[in-house]
Amino acid sequence: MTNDQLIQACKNRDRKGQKAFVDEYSSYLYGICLRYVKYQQEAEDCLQESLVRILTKIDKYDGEGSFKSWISKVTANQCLQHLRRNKKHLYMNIEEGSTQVHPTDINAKLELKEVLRFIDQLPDNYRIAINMYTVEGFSHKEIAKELGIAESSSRSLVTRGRQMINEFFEEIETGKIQNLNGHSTPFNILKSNKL
Amino acid sequence: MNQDLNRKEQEFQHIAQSHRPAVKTDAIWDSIEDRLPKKERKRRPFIWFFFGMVSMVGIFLLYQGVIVSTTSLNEKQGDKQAIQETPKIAENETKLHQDAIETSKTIIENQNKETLKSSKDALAITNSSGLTKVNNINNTKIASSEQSVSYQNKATTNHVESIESESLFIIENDQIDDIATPSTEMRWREDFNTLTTLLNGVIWNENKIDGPFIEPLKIRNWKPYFIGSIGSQWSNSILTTNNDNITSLHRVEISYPSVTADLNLNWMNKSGWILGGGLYYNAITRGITTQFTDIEITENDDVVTIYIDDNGNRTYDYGTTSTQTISTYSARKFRSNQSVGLQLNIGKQLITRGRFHANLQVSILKDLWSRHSGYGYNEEGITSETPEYMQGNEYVRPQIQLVYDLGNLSIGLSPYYTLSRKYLIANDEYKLKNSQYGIQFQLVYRP
Repeated sequence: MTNDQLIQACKNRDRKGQKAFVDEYSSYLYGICLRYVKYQQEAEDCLQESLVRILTKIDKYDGEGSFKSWISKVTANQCLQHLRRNKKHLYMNIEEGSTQVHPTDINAKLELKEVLRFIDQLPDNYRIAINMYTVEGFSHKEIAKELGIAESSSRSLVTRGRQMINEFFEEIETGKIQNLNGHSTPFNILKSNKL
Repeated sequence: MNQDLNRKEQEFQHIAQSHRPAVKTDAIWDSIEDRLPKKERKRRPFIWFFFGMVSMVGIFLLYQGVIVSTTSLNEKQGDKQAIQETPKIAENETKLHQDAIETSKTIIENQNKETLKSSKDALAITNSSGLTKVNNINNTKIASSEQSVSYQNKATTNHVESIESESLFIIENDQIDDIATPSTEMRWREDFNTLTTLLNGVIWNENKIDGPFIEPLKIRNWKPYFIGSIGSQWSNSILTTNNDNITSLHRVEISYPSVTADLNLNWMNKSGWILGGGLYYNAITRGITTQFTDIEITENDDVVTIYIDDNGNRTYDYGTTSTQTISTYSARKFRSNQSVGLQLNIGKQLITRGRFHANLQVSILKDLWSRHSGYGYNEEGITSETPEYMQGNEYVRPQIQLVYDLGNLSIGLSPYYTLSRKYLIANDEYKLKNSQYGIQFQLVYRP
């Protein structure tokens, strides 16, 4: 079944098509949920809610833009709503997030688990902003609207988040990580600003 | 998708998106299957309601048509009988005239015969007595009598012919005016009567002009009238939220096209007071919504956001109150609010100028069935995941009715305002209160 056929089957409320969609995209969407919501159980809840929402609102997808991008945004929105509903503030003191640092394999290349760990170690506000902008492709206007902040605030968060990503890459590439004797990691960029 | 990502960021994005953690899809499917929308037959309540209304109006008009038809038919049947009897009457009258003429002739002839006979007898007597003079006189008398009889006969014949010709003339005119012309209409009436009889299956007591349906509606001093309305409305929605970061939010939505329709039976007394009730349908279906939103966002005081510029300078944001006015224009094809219910009407006729009337009516509406879905706050919407059925909402609808009489039928325009009593709640977080401004076209029938 091609992707278009799968979408059409879901629009037709075809049970087999919906099941095929769940089989095809659950893993991808679960990855998104885990980037926004730290706890596995909460991420699974978000995944289920996202799947229901996508399959309920799939008529709204008019074929413009990537389907993957659309379901990513729906899932991200669901995660944000989950955070709001559970009274978890999207804006926290940045120092809270920067205090938890884990050592990394000194010989590691840039691998998925490092990226995930990097994301996981970020303060919530940066994590959400980077996920929304860099990974999911939200615009500043959309981020501002979703988070209830000004667009200028979104730009500041994203600019700083991107800077962190670049520094993270530089540390990986320059091998600084080896000279820090395991006490410092690429995530130390969070501390390097002497917050 | 943002296009300004550098190579590293794109790689970062690629790696992050490639994350495919293991997940038990069968377990997830089992837990969500019951919540997924099933393939269902498309419901079109508005269309059904519209056809229902049209059918009711059609049946009612048909009913009235039968009454009119029956009434007219009764009258026409009387006319027809009269028309059919007219030639007979005329014929009878003619026959009577002819009988009278015959009788007159007989009487006159008998009288003449008797006169002639007596004259002849007298003449015979006179002759027998040899009196020539008398004979001559008698002959003269006889001649005179015969002539008199002849004149009388002639006069009688003329009179009879005159009566006959007059009667025939009347008959011919009656036949032309009352028999020849309506015959086509009579056939149409008979066909129509047959048709309506077949459609209704029963003919009621022909003596009861209003039929069995209208008659019970008549209450002393209170005259019934039917009023059917259909119109368009504009929705003003007020959205409130208990979200911690949003302290106030007022959104005005103008939704269109939206439809309202109702069918009521009201009574009006001589003082102009109105009482009644009926059935209504309200819909904001698959329309376009224009939103104007005033939103005030207050961040919590215990939240501190720190912004760092390129030089490492820090800016602390301890929480601010900012007010934003967001105006959006969006097409929300998925939006759908519909309700069906009963309404109670009370009102007063305020102005009467010739055929024009102005009434003030206040209606209390109660939903028997309603469905709200697809409203939203942001792009993806705080939507009801599935259509929410909300029974029991109530509304108050004051309206002005401007009516122009056209005999039994009247037409009117009615601007109104509808205020709902209850909120629509989504996700335990957002509350929506609707009110509508609208105008209806009305058709009033007074039996």
